[in-house]
Amino acid sequence: MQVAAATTAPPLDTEELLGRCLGKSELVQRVLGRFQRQLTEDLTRIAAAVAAADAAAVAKFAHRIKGAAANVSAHAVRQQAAVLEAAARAEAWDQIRAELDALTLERDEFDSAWQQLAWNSGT
Amino acid sequence: MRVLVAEDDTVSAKLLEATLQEFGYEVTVAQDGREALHLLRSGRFRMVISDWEMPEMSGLELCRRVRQRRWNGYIYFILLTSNGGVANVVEGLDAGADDFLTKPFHPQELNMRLAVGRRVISLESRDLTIFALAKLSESRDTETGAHLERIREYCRLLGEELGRSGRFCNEIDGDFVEMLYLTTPLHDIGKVGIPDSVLLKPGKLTPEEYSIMKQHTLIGARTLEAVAHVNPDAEFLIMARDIALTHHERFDGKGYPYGIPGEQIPLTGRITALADVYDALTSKRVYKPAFSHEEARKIILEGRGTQFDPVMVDAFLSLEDDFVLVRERFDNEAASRFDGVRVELPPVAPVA
Repeated sequence: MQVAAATTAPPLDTEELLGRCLGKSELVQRVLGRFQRQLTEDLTRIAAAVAAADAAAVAKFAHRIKGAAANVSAHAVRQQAAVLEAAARAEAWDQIRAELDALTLERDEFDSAWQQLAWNSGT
Repeated sequence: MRVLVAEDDTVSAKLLEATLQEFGYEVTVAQDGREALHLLRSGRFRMVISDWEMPEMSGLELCRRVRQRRWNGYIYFILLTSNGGVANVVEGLDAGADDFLTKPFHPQELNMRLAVGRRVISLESRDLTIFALAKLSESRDTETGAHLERIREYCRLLGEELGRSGRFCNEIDGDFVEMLYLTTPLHDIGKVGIPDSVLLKPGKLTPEEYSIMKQHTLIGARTLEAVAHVNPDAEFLIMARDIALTHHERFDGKGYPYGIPGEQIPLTGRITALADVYDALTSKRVYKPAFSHEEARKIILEGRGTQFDPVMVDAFLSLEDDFVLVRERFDNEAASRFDGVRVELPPVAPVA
Protein backbone atom coordinates (compact mmCIF):
# COMPACT_ATOMS: atom_id res chain seq x y z
CA MET A 1 0.00 0.00 0.00
CA GLN A 2 1.53 3.24 -1.05
CA VAL A 3 1.11 6.17 1.28
CA ALA A 4 1.39 9.57 -0.38
CA ALA A 5 4.59 11.47 0.34
CA ALA A 6 5.17 15.00 -0.81
CA THR A 7 6.45 17.67 1.50
CA THR A 8 6.16 21.26 0.45
CA ALA A 9 6.23 22.80 3.91
CA PRO A 10 9.10 25.05 5.01
CA PRO A 11 11.75 23.52 7.24
CA LEU A 12 11.28 26.10 9.98
CA ASP A 13 8.71 28.85 10.62
CA THR A 14 10.60 31.05 13.03
CA GLU A 15 7.90 33.69 13.41
CA GLU A 16 5.33 31.16 14.46
CA LEU A 17 7.75 29.59 16.90
CA LEU A 18 8.72 32.94 18.34
CA GLY A 19 5.04 33.64 18.95
CA ARG A 20 4.63 30.35 20.74
CA CYS A 21 7.70 31.13 22.84
CA LEU A 22 6.09 34.38 23.92
CA GLY A 23 8.62 36.42 21.95
CA LYS A 24 11.66 35.09 23.75
CA SER A 25 14.42 34.30 21.27
CA GLU A 26 16.54 32.75 24.00
CA LEU A 27 13.79 30.24 24.68
CA VAL A 28 13.50 29.62 20.94
CA GLN A 29 17.18 28.68 20.76
CA ARG A 30 16.99 26.37 23.76
CA VAL A 31 13.89 24.66 22.44
CA LEU A 32 15.38 24.23 18.96
CA GLY A 33 18.53 22.78 20.48
CA ARG A 34 16.51 20.26 22.41
CA PHE A 35 14.50 19.40 19.34
CA GLN A 36 17.61 18.80 17.30
CA ARG A 37 19.07 16.51 19.95
CA GLN A 38 15.87 14.56 20.44
CA LEU A 39 15.31 14.26 16.71
CA THR A 40 18.79 12.83 16.16
CA GLU A 41 18.31 10.34 18.98
CA ASP A 42 14.88 9.32 17.75
CA LEU A 43 16.16 8.80 14.21
CA THR A 44 18.75 6.42 15.61
CA ARG A 45 16.04 4.59 17.53
CA ILE A 46 13.92 4.31 14.41
CA ALA A 47 16.85 2.86 12.46
CA ALA A 48 17.27 0.25 15.22
CA ALA A 49 13.54 -0.49 15.12
CA VAL A 50 13.67 -0.97 11.34
CA ALA A 51 16.58 -3.38 11.75
CA ALA A 52 14.53 -5.28 14.33
CA ALA A 53 11.43 -5.15 12.07
CA ASP A 54 9.48 -3.49 14.90
CA ALA A 55 6.85 -1.42 13.07
CA ALA A 56 5.12 -0.38 16.28
CA ALA A 57 8.30 1.19 17.64
CA VAL A 58 8.86 3.01 14.36
CA ALA A 59 5.35 4.42 14.56
CA LYS A 60 5.80 5.46 18.19
CA PHE A 61 8.98 7.43 17.57
CA ALA A 62 7.70 8.91 14.33
CA HIS A 63 4.65 10.07 16.26
CA ARG A 64 6.83 11.72 18.87
CA ILE A 65 8.91 13.45 16.23
CA LYS A 66 5.71 14.66 14.60
CA GLY A 67 4.47 16.20 17.84
CA ALA A 68 7.75 17.84 18.71
CA ALA A 69 8.18 19.21 15.20
CA ALA A 70 4.68 20.68 15.36
CA ASN A 71 5.61 22.44 18.57
CA VAL A 72 8.76 24.00 17.09
CA SER A 73 7.12 24.82 13.76
CA ALA A 74 9.50 22.55 11.84
CA HIS A 75 6.74 21.84 9.38
CA ALA A 76 8.65 19.80 6.81
CA VAL A 77 9.90 17.43 9.47
CA ARG A 78 6.41 17.25 10.91
CA GLN A 79 4.84 16.34 7.60
CA GLN A 80 7.45 13.73 6.78
CA ALA A 81 7.21 12.21 10.24
CA ALA A 82 3.44 11.92 9.74
CA VAL A 83 4.01 10.06 6.49
CA LEU A 84 6.50 7.72 8.15
CA GLU A 85 4.10 7.12 11.03
CA ALA A 86 1.31 6.21 8.64
CA ALA A 87 3.57 3.82 6.73
CA ALA A 88 4.69 2.19 9.97
CA ARG A 89 1.12 1.72 11.18
CA ALA A 90 0.34 0.11 7.83
CA GLU A 91 3.50 -2.03 8.20
CA ALA A 92 4.48 -1.15 4.63
CA TRP A 93 8.14 -2.10 5.02
CA ASP A 94 9.34 -1.05 1.59
CA GLN A 95 7.93 2.35 2.13
CA ILE A 96 9.12 2.63 5.72
CA ARG A 97 12.76 2.51 4.68
CA ALA A 98 12.24 5.10 1.97
CA GLU A 99 10.33 7.43 4.27
CA LEU A 100 13.00 7.12 6.94
CA ASP A 101 15.60 8.25 4.42
CA ALA A 102 13.36 11.17 3.45
CA LEU A 103 12.95 12.11 7.10
CA THR A 104 16.71 12.08 7.59
CA LEU A 105 16.99 14.46 4.67
CA GLU A 106 14.41 16.74 6.24
CA ARG A 107 16.42 16.67 9.44
CA ASP A 108 19.43 17.92 7.48
CA GLU A 109 17.29 20.68 5.94
CA PHE A 110 16.15 21.66 9.38
CA ASP A 111 19.75 21.77 10.61
CA SER A 112 20.69 24.19 7.82
CA ALA A 113 17.67 26.36 8.48
CA TRP A 114 18.55 26.52 12.13
CA GLN A 115 22.22 27.30 11.49
CA GLN A 116 21.04 30.09 9.25
CA LEU A 117 18.82 31.42 11.99
CA ALA A 118 21.59 31.26 14.58
CA TRP A 119 24.01 32.90 12.16
CA ASN A 120 21.52 35.65 11.31
CA SER A 121 20.76 36.49 14.89
CA GLY A 122 24.47 36.55 15.66
CA THR A 123 24.47 33.74 18.23
CA MET B 1 -0.33 26.96 41.80
CA ARG B 2 1.42 23.70 40.96
CA VAL B 3 0.89 21.91 37.68
CA LEU B 4 2.04 18.43 36.80
CA VAL B 5 3.04 17.97 33.18
CA ALA B 6 3.21 14.44 31.84
CA GLU B 7 5.07 14.41 28.55
CA ASP B 8 7.80 12.16 27.20
CA ASP B 9 8.72 14.48 24.34
CA THR B 10 11.29 16.72 26.00
CA VAL B 11 10.78 19.46 23.44
CA SER B 12 7.09 19.78 24.11
CA ALA B 13 7.74 19.41 27.82
CA LYS B 14 10.22 22.25 27.73
CA LEU B 15 7.85 24.50 25.84
CA LEU B 16 4.99 23.70 28.15
CA GLU B 17 7.11 24.26 31.21
CA ALA B 18 8.39 27.60 29.96
CA THR B 19 4.91 28.76 29.01
CA LEU B 20 3.35 27.71 32.28
CA GLN B 21 6.10 29.32 34.30
CA GLU B 22 5.56 32.50 32.34
CA PHE B 23 1.97 32.44 33.50
CA GLY B 24 3.03 32.03 37.09
CA TYR B 25 2.63 28.31 37.60
CA GLU B 26 5.07 26.00 39.38
CA VAL B 27 5.79 23.12 37.04
CA THR B 28 6.90 19.55 37.59
CA VAL B 29 7.50 17.33 34.58
CA ALA B 30 6.95 13.59 34.49
CA GLN B 31 8.23 11.60 31.53
CA ASP B 32 5.54 8.98 31.45
CA GLY B 33 2.19 8.04 32.92
CA ARG B 34 3.60 5.91 35.68
CA GLU B 35 5.90 8.61 36.95
CA ALA B 36 3.00 11.06 36.78
CA LEU B 37 0.77 8.82 38.87
CA HIS B 38 3.54 8.41 41.40
CA LEU B 39 3.93 12.18 41.65
CA LEU B 40 0.18 12.65 42.01
CA ARG B 41 0.23 10.45 45.07
CA SER B 42 2.34 13.07 46.80
CA GLY B 43 -0.88 15.08 46.99
CA ARG B 44 0.81 18.23 45.78
CA PHE B 45 -1.00 18.61 42.48
CA ARG B 46 -4.55 19.59 41.62
CA MET B 47 -3.88 20.21 37.91
CA VAL B 48 -2.45 17.87 35.31
CA ILE B 49 -1.57 18.48 31.69
CA SER B 50 -0.84 15.20 30.02
CA ASP B 51 0.22 14.14 26.59
CA TRP B 52 -1.74 11.30 25.04
CA GLU B 53 1.01 9.02 23.75
CA MET B 54 3.59 8.14 26.36
CA PRO B 55 5.66 5.08 27.23
CA GLU B 56 4.73 2.88 30.23
CA MET B 57 1.26 4.40 30.54
CA SER B 58 -0.56 6.58 28.03
CA GLY B 59 -2.25 9.83 28.98
CA LEU B 60 -5.60 8.22 28.39
CA GLU B 61 -4.79 5.41 30.77
CA LEU B 62 -3.38 7.86 33.30
CA CYS B 63 -6.61 9.81 33.17
CA ARG B 64 -8.66 6.68 33.77
CA ARG B 65 -6.50 5.75 36.75
CA VAL B 66 -6.84 9.23 38.18
CA ARG B 67 -10.61 9.04 37.97
CA GLN B 68 -10.73 5.59 39.44
CA ARG B 69 -9.59 6.48 42.92
CA ARG B 70 -10.56 9.11 45.46
CA TRP B 71 -8.11 11.92 45.93
CA ASN B 72 -7.76 14.58 48.56
CA GLY B 73 -9.37 17.06 46.19
CA TYR B 74 -10.50 17.20 42.60
CA ILE B 75 -7.77 16.75 40.01
CA TYR B 76 -8.32 18.85 36.91
CA PHE B 77 -7.07 16.94 33.90
CA ILE B 78 -6.17 18.43 30.53
CA LEU B 79 -5.26 16.01 27.75
CA LEU B 80 -2.83 17.31 25.18
CA THR B 81 -2.45 15.58 21.83
CA SER B 82 -1.47 16.06 18.25
CA ASN B 83 -4.26 13.74 17.13
CA GLY B 84 -7.30 15.79 16.26
CA GLY B 85 -10.71 14.50 15.36
CA VAL B 86 -13.97 14.02 17.21
CA ALA B 87 -13.33 10.36 18.02
CA ASN B 88 -10.29 11.29 20.04
CA VAL B 89 -12.08 14.05 21.89
CA VAL B 90 -14.85 11.65 22.80
CA GLU B 91 -12.42 9.00 23.95
CA GLY B 92 -10.54 11.52 26.04
CA LEU B 93 -13.60 12.98 27.70
CA ASP B 94 -14.96 9.50 28.22
CA ALA B 95 -11.82 8.63 30.15
CA GLY B 96 -12.66 11.54 32.42
CA ALA B 97 -10.58 14.37 31.04
CA ASP B 98 -11.84 17.85 31.88
CA ASP B 99 -10.44 19.50 28.78
CA PHE B 100 -8.75 18.62 25.60
CA LEU B 101 -6.11 20.65 23.79
CA THR B 102 -4.44 19.90 20.50
CA LYS B 103 -0.76 20.35 19.84
CA PRO B 104 0.79 22.67 19.04
CA PHE B 105 -0.92 24.66 21.72
CA HIS B 106 -1.44 28.38 21.71
CA PRO B 107 -0.01 29.85 24.92
CA GLN B 108 -2.96 32.17 25.50
CA GLU B 109 -5.47 29.42 24.93
CA LEU B 110 -3.62 27.17 27.37
CA ASN B 111 -3.65 29.93 29.94
CA MET B 112 -7.38 30.43 29.55
CA ARG B 113 -8.09 26.72 29.90
CA LEU B 114 -5.97 26.60 33.03
CA ALA B 115 -7.86 29.56 34.45
CA VAL B 116 -11.06 27.56 34.02
CA GLY B 117 -9.41 24.71 35.86
CA ARG B 118 -8.46 26.97 38.71
CA ARG B 119 -12.00 28.22 39.05
CA VAL B 120 -13.33 24.68 39.14
CA ILE B 121 -10.90 23.69 41.85
CA SER B 122 -11.48 26.76 43.97
CA LEU B 123 -15.25 26.33 43.80
CA GLU B 124 -15.09 22.86 45.21
CA SER B 125 -13.17 23.92 48.27
CA ARG B 126 -15.26 27.05 48.77
CA ASP B 127 -18.59 25.25 48.91
CA LEU B 128 -17.29 22.56 51.23
CA THR B 129 -15.68 25.11 53.53
CA ILE B 130 -18.84 27.17 53.78
CA PHE B 131 -20.92 24.18 54.68
CA ALA B 132 -18.33 22.98 57.18
CA LEU B 133 -18.41 26.38 58.86
CA ALA B 134 -22.17 26.28 59.03
CA LYS B 135 -22.14 22.80 60.52
CA LEU B 136 -19.58 23.88 63.08
CA SER B 137 -21.72 26.79 64.16
CA GLU B 138 -24.60 24.48 65.01
CA SER B 139 -22.48 21.78 66.64
CA ARG B 140 -23.34 22.92 70.15
CA ASP B 141 -27.04 22.65 69.43
CA THR B 142 -27.70 19.00 70.21
CA GLU B 143 -30.89 18.49 68.35
CA THR B 144 -30.54 20.05 64.97
CA GLY B 145 -29.28 16.96 63.09
CA ALA B 146 -29.73 17.45 59.37
CA HIS B 147 -31.43 20.83 59.84
CA LEU B 148 -28.99 22.61 57.55
CA GLU B 149 -29.26 19.96 54.85
CA ARG B 150 -33.03 20.18 54.93
CA ILE B 151 -33.34 23.94 55.11
CA ARG B 152 -31.20 24.53 52.06
CA GLU B 153 -33.31 22.04 50.12
CA TYR B 154 -36.50 23.83 51.23
CA CYS B 155 -35.05 27.18 50.22
CA ARG B 156 -33.94 25.87 46.87
CA LEU B 157 -37.43 24.53 46.21
CA LEU B 158 -39.02 27.82 47.21
CA GLY B 159 -36.52 29.80 45.16
CA GLU B 160 -37.17 27.71 42.06
CA GLU B 161 -40.91 27.95 42.49
CA LEU B 162 -40.81 31.70 42.95
CA GLY B 163 -38.50 32.01 39.96
CA ARG B 164 -40.98 30.10 37.83
CA SER B 165 -43.87 32.34 38.86
CA GLY B 166 -42.51 35.22 36.79
CA ARG B 167 -43.06 37.74 39.53
CA PHE B 168 -39.40 37.70 40.53
CA CYS B 169 -37.90 37.20 37.09
CA ASN B 170 -35.55 40.14 37.61
CA GLU B 171 -34.24 38.86 40.88
CA ILE B 172 -34.39 35.10 40.71
CA ASP B 173 -32.49 33.03 38.21
CA GLY B 174 -30.67 29.71 38.45
CA ASP B 175 -27.63 31.46 39.81
CA PHE B 176 -29.66 33.10 42.60
CA VAL B 177 -31.13 29.77 43.59
CA GLU B 178 -27.73 28.10 43.74
CA MET B 179 -26.38 30.96 45.82
CA LEU B 180 -29.35 30.63 48.14
CA TYR B 181 -28.62 26.92 48.50
CA LEU B 182 -25.05 27.74 49.38
CA THR B 183 -25.71 30.56 51.86
CA THR B 184 -28.85 29.50 53.72
CA PRO B 185 -26.90 27.14 56.00
CA LEU B 186 -25.11 30.20 57.39
CA HIS B 187 -28.33 31.74 58.73
CA ASP B 188 -27.61 30.89 62.37
CA ILE B 189 -23.87 31.31 62.31
CA GLY B 190 -24.24 34.04 64.91
CA LYS B 191 -25.24 31.45 67.49
CA VAL B 192 -21.57 30.82 68.16
CA GLY B 193 -21.72 34.06 70.11
CA ILE B 194 -24.58 32.96 72.34
CA PRO B 195 -23.60 31.50 75.74
CA ASP B 196 -24.44 27.86 76.58
CA SER B 197 -26.73 28.91 79.40
CA VAL B 198 -29.04 30.52 76.88
CA LEU B 199 -28.43 28.45 73.76
CA LEU B 200 -28.76 25.07 75.48
CA LYS B 201 -31.42 25.94 78.03
CA PRO B 202 -34.07 23.23 77.86
CA GLY B 203 -36.85 25.37 79.25
CA LYS B 204 -38.51 28.55 78.16
CA LEU B 205 -36.23 31.58 77.92
CA THR B 206 -36.73 34.56 80.19
CA PRO B 207 -37.16 37.96 78.48
CA GLU B 208 -33.50 38.76 79.22
CA GLU B 209 -32.34 35.42 77.85
CA TYR B 210 -34.54 35.90 74.81
CA SER B 211 -33.01 39.26 74.01
CA ILE B 212 -29.56 37.66 74.24
CA MET B 213 -30.68 34.92 71.87
CA LYS B 214 -32.02 37.43 69.38
CA GLN B 215 -28.50 38.84 69.10
CA HIS B 216 -27.46 35.91 66.98
CA THR B 217 -28.89 37.67 63.94
CA LEU B 218 -26.72 40.73 64.50
CA ILE B 219 -23.63 38.72 65.41
CA GLY B 220 -23.91 36.62 62.26
CA ALA B 221 -24.54 39.61 60.03
CA ARG B 222 -21.68 41.59 61.52
CA THR B 223 -19.21 38.76 60.93
CA LEU B 224 -20.32 38.17 57.36
CA GLU B 225 -20.39 41.88 56.62
CA ALA B 226 -16.81 42.22 57.84
CA VAL B 227 -15.65 39.47 55.49
CA ALA B 228 -17.73 40.81 52.58
CA HIS B 229 -16.12 44.20 53.09
CA VAL B 230 -12.67 42.71 52.59
CA ASN B 231 -13.72 40.65 49.58
CA PRO B 232 -16.14 42.63 47.42
CA ASP B 233 -16.12 39.94 44.72
CA ALA B 234 -17.78 37.44 47.01
CA GLU B 235 -21.43 38.14 46.17
CA PHE B 236 -22.58 35.22 48.18
CA LEU B 237 -21.35 36.82 51.40
CA ILE B 238 -23.79 39.67 50.93
CA MET B 239 -26.63 37.24 50.50
CA ALA B 240 -25.45 35.28 53.53
CA ARG B 241 -25.38 38.48 55.58
CA ASP B 242 -28.94 39.37 54.55
CA ILE B 243 -30.19 35.94 55.50
CA ALA B 244 -28.39 35.89 58.84
CA LEU B 245 -29.76 39.31 59.67
CA THR B 246 -33.37 39.03 58.55
CA HIS B 247 -34.51 35.42 58.81
CA HIS B 248 -36.39 36.24 62.04
CA GLU B 249 -38.12 39.31 60.70
CA ARG B 250 -41.88 39.10 60.28
CA PHE B 251 -43.95 40.30 57.38
CA ASP B 252 -46.04 42.43 59.76
CA GLY B 253 -42.92 44.14 61.10
CA LYS B 254 -43.06 42.53 64.54
CA GLY B 255 -39.95 40.43 64.09
CA TYR B 256 -36.34 41.01 65.10
CA PRO B 257 -33.73 42.44 65.20
CA TYR B 258 -35.09 45.60 63.54
CA GLY B 259 -38.82 44.92 63.07
CA ILE B 260 -38.78 45.79 59.39
CA PRO B 261 -42.01 45.01 57.51
CA GLY B 262 -43.12 43.47 54.24
CA GLU B 263 -40.93 43.74 51.21
CA GLN B 264 -38.35 45.77 53.06
CA ILE B 265 -37.21 42.40 54.27
CA PRO B 266 -34.85 41.01 51.65
CA LEU B 267 -36.40 38.26 49.57
CA THR B 268 -33.79 35.78 50.78
CA GLY B 269 -34.76 36.52 54.39
CA ARG B 270 -38.46 35.97 53.68
CA ILE B 271 -37.74 32.67 51.98
CA THR B 272 -35.47 31.41 54.76
CA ALA B 273 -37.94 32.47 57.46
CA LEU B 274 -40.57 30.09 56.18
CA ALA B 275 -38.14 27.24 55.61
CA ASP B 276 -36.64 27.66 59.06
CA VAL B 277 -40.00 27.64 60.83
CA TYR B 278 -41.25 24.66 58.83
CA ASP B 279 -38.17 22.69 59.80
CA ALA B 280 -38.41 23.68 63.44
CA LEU B 281 -42.07 22.64 63.54
CA THR B 282 -41.47 19.28 61.89
CA SER B 283 -38.42 18.43 63.99
CA LYS B 284 -38.27 17.12 67.51
CA ARG B 285 -37.01 19.63 70.04
CA VAL B 286 -36.46 19.44 73.77
CA TYR B 287 -39.60 21.42 74.41
CA LYS B 288 -41.85 19.82 71.76
CA PRO B 289 -42.31 16.71 69.63
CA ALA B 290 -42.00 16.75 65.85
CA PHE B 291 -45.23 17.99 64.29
CA SER B 292 -46.67 16.30 61.24
CA HIS B 293 -46.62 18.02 57.90
CA GLU B 294 -50.34 18.78 58.20
CA GLU B 295 -49.91 20.42 61.60
CA ALA B 296 -46.98 22.48 60.33
CA ARG B 297 -48.92 23.48 57.25
CA LYS B 298 -51.80 24.68 59.39
CA ILE B 299 -49.52 26.84 61.53
CA ILE B 300 -47.81 28.31 58.48
CA LEU B 301 -51.15 29.13 56.90
CA GLU B 302 -52.18 30.88 60.09
CA GLY B 303 -49.06 33.02 59.72
CA ARG B 304 -49.80 34.01 56.14
CA GLY B 305 -49.60 37.78 55.89
CA THR B 306 -48.51 38.20 59.50
CA GLN B 307 -45.40 36.17 60.13
CA PHE B 308 -44.85 35.17 56.53
CA ASP B 309 -45.00 36.84 53.15
CA PRO B 310 -48.21 35.53 51.49
CA VAL B 311 -46.31 34.94 48.26
CA MET B 312 -43.89 32.63 50.10
CA VAL B 313 -46.74 30.75 51.72
CA ASP B 314 -48.48 30.28 48.38
CA ALA B 315 -45.25 28.94 46.90
CA PHE B 316 -44.95 26.56 49.85
CA LEU B 317 -48.48 25.31 49.23
CA SER B 318 -47.60 24.25 45.69
CA LEU B 319 -44.50 22.46 46.97
CA GLU B 320 -45.96 20.40 49.81
CA ASP B 321 -45.15 17.03 48.32
CA ASP B 322 -41.56 18.11 47.69
CA PHE B 323 -41.17 19.35 51.25
CA VAL B 324 -42.43 16.05 52.61
CA LEU B 325 -39.97 14.19 50.41
CA VAL B 326 -37.05 16.29 51.65
CA ARG B 327 -38.02 15.59 55.21
CA GLU B 328 -38.09 11.86 54.56
CA ARG B 329 -34.79 11.99 52.76
CA PHE B 330 -32.97 13.60 55.67
CA ASP B 331 -34.48 11.55 58.43
CA ASN B 332 -33.25 12.90 61.76
CA GLU B 333 -33.97 9.67 63.52
CA ALA B 334 -31.31 7.72 61.63
CA ALA B 335 -28.49 7.14 64.09
CA SER B 336 -25.00 8.43 63.49
CA ARG B 337 -21.89 6.87 64.94
CA PHE B 338 -21.27 10.07 66.81
CA ASP B 339 -24.63 10.33 68.55
CA GLY B 340 -24.39 10.39 72.29
CA VAL B 341 -20.79 11.59 72.22
CA ARG B 342 -20.89 14.81 74.18
CA VAL B 343 -18.04 16.77 75.58
CA GLU B 344 -18.15 16.58 79.35
CA LEU B 345 -17.20 19.94 80.80
CA PRO B 346 -16.12 20.18 84.42
CA PRO B 347 -18.85 21.69 86.64
CA VAL B 348 -18.42 25.42 87.21
CA ALA B 349 -18.19 26.38 90.86
CA PRO B 350 -20.88 28.91 91.80
CA VAL B 351 -19.60 32.47 92.34
CA ALA B 352 -19.98 33.45 95.98
